[in-house]
Amino acid sequence: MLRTETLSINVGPQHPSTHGVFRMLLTLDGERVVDLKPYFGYLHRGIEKTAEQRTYVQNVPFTDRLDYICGMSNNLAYALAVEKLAGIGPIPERAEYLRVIMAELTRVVNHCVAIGFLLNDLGAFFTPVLYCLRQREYILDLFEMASGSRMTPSYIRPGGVVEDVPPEFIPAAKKVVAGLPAFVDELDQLLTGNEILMARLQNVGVLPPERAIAYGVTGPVLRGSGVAYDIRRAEPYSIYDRFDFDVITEPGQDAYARFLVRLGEMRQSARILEQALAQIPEGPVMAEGVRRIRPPAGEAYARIEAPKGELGFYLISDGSPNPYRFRVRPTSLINLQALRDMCVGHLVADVVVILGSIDLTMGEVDR
Amino acid sequence: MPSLNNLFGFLQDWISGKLSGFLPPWGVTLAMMVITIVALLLFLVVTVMYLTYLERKVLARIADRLGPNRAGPLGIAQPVADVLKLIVKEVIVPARADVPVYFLAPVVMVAPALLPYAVLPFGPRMVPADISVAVLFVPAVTSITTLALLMAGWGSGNKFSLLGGLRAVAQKVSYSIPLLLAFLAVVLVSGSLSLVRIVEAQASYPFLLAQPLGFIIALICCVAEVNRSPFDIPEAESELVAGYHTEYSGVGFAMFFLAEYIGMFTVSAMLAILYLGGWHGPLLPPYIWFLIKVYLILCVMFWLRGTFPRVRVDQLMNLSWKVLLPLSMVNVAVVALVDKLGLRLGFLPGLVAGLVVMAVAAAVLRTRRRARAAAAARPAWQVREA
Amino acid sequence: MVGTGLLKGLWVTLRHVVETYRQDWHKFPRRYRREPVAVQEQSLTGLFTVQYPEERLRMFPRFHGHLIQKRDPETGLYNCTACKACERACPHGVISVEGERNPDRESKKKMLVTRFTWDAGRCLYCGLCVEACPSDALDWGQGYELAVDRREELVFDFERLLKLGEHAT
Ligand code: SF4
Ligand code: SF4
Repeated sequence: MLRTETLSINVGPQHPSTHGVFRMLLTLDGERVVDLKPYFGYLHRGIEKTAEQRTYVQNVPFTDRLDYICGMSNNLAYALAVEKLAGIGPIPERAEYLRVIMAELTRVVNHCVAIGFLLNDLGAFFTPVLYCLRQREYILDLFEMASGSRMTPSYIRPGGVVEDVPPEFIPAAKKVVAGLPAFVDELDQLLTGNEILMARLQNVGVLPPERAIAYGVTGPVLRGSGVAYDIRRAEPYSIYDRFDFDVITEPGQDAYARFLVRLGEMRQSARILEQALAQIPEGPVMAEGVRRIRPPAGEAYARIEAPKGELGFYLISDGSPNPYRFRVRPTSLINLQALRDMCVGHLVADVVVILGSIDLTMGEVDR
Repeated sequence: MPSLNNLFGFLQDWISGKLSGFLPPWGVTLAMMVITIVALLLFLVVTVMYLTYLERKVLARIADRLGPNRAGPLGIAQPVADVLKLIVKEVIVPARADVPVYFLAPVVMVAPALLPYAVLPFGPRMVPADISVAVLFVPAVTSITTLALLMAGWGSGNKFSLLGGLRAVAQKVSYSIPLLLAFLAVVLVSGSLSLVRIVEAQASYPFLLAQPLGFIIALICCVAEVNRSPFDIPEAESELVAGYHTEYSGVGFAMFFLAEYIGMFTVSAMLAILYLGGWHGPLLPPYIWFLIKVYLILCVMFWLRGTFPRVRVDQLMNLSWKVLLPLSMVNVAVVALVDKLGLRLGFLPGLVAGLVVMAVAAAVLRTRRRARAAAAARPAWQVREA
Repeated sequence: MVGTGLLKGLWVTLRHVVETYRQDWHKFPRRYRREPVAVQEQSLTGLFTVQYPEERLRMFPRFHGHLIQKRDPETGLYNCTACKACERACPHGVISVEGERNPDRESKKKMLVTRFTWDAGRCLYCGLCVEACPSDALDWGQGYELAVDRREELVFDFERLLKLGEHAT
């Protein structure tokens, strides 16, 4: 009888494809993974604790830095939580529209990055990722035009948005949105039918719906398991109930399904954006009297469908200008829980692909 | 332009004429050998340097970039800068390295990579040694590099390197077989094992037309043989950091790099010789035609690299053993049959037969994939936990 | 048929290669011109990278490059009144302001700034300070080449911010 030994290797924290400082201790039998232990915390910056010493508005820039790919969505979730806590409202119409526009643009940005880097993990030499980043660049230009920053905009604030977009924004955004479907089509043509890609992604990282729900996984990973759960539909916030869009699900339950969900969501985002940009009214962008936020004692939890899944902020106020507790429900961390289950039994090469298909941002995992 | 067509032949005659003035005949032969070797080596080193440049430019253009453009006009001096950088870099020996093996590996890698140039014909009369079994010689010597990969993987004392080395060996061994079978079909058609004779046999039409299937098999195997994307599994960056050469820096790394690119050039040259008609071509001098064909194949390789994701280890093995090997056997059989029939129709019977085999293979693969997809409906975790 | 997906992908990349050459030819004079080019035009193909030192993008008016201190264009006096609103608004304690009463009672300026520092290395570039400033003194400049050799040089004092403000206007 041949006696084999398992081999333990550390993947990360400095490894080309761990998406930031993340370490996995893989136990391998040959090339097959028998165990996986994720280690994280390398990027812990103590944001939750720091936030207890800052005022509600001062915390907005910190939320940018949670999931730094989608700053705008984080701003939105935080703003909703503060509004709920302090009873701010109603939010002016124009601000609501701008919020939706920014949030959907962020979704496109995030999915571009997710698909691009998934392909890098698959070993495609930078071509798909550069096509994706190119599209992202146009959107980041829009963010910069509106807020002055590309990735850390701090644009959506409790009460509305910080200032109205410049007049050239809406036409520019319309142009970008008009170009999106063509971009998604091209990506589709380049990747979707590719036999190598299919061979690499199909039946890899299978996460059945009941498992996904048990882990609390949300976002494209959950929808890739065939569960049609989208907070924009399940519990509409902001003005999402006004738009016409589909919740994309794929029955595949594997990495390929997640990839398809992301492609589809980009198309849906383009649809929402089109409607929002056509309907956006004129008017103020900040609710009345929100200069200094001092919520009454109490607590509030607000959540949104961030590009990666459910992003929630749980705030407790003791009546002072600073939150008593500031807690993030990090999408990436909770989606990461399913990693081991998805990886065991696959090959090493699949681990990085599964990791890429979950789409993590370590800034959010470690906070 | 007869003189241009045979530039190197004249050069050779001229130099040996000069030398015979003051050297005995054996001295002339020896000197000519040394000169040829030096010239070939120089040619190879410069080619490799600019191959990296070409590759980066092509990949950049594929990805909507410009590529290197800082050093010199259009970045022409970039390869020189790279070489200088690699040479002056510190050679780091990992603490757990098996030192002799670690240092031997790059040498064992480069030396066999150079050997095929002894037999590759760049043009008529432009072959250092026209040996009669050249078709076998080239794969035989290049497969010695397998040993080097294993040595590098083992010697580095790094788990990633070890995995990379093992993968490399498995890959090289399994792709050599269909590759040789594909070459065998060419040998059957041309009736010779000498590369020069094979090229001469393609005077009327390139064997690509007679053996489309053989060419595709050989192309895939060649890409896999030299570990290029989409078969760059031994150095799969996203999984194994850099595979077997993870721990090499400076000159050691440069050697691996050199060997890899020389290997690419070798297989492209082989493909050009066996399937694209070698030096044959109108108007331009033969060696120019040969280089054009080689670079065409190289560009296709870059193109593949710029487009495709990487396949997985098991898929790579499956492709070789379950698809390419049977196909290449069928190919040999079909070629032998067509050859035996002795129809004097040029490439037509071969072309038709090749296309038919390809169509059948595609249909079979497709139904098999359907069946597999249906079988995989039960998710893997259930299987695991059952 | 097996392989069509691969061929489609190859076709896409081939198109990109051809397009880069075609569009490059059309835009030839643009490349390597030394003035800032406008925002990049949206397109799916063609060269996309900016050849940075030669080619520069024009920044948007709201771009958060670095802070500047503004002067009143008529009197030439600086606008800052050392009210410390920016210092209080900053989430990170990046700005510190000290001021004193102007000994010259006749002057329009009631408060003089004795010390104003902005630590670019610790700044979040969030803009809360600019929003908080009541006297239109603090604003964003467009510069983005802020790299320096030593960490201390990242701390901008009042004079430097005023000078940056002059360049910006
Ligand atoms: S931009 Fe933000 S972090 Fe920087 S100085 Fe102003 S308030 Fe402070
Ligand atoms: S810059 Fe503005 S906010 Fe800051 S001290 Fe001066 S006047 Fe006050």
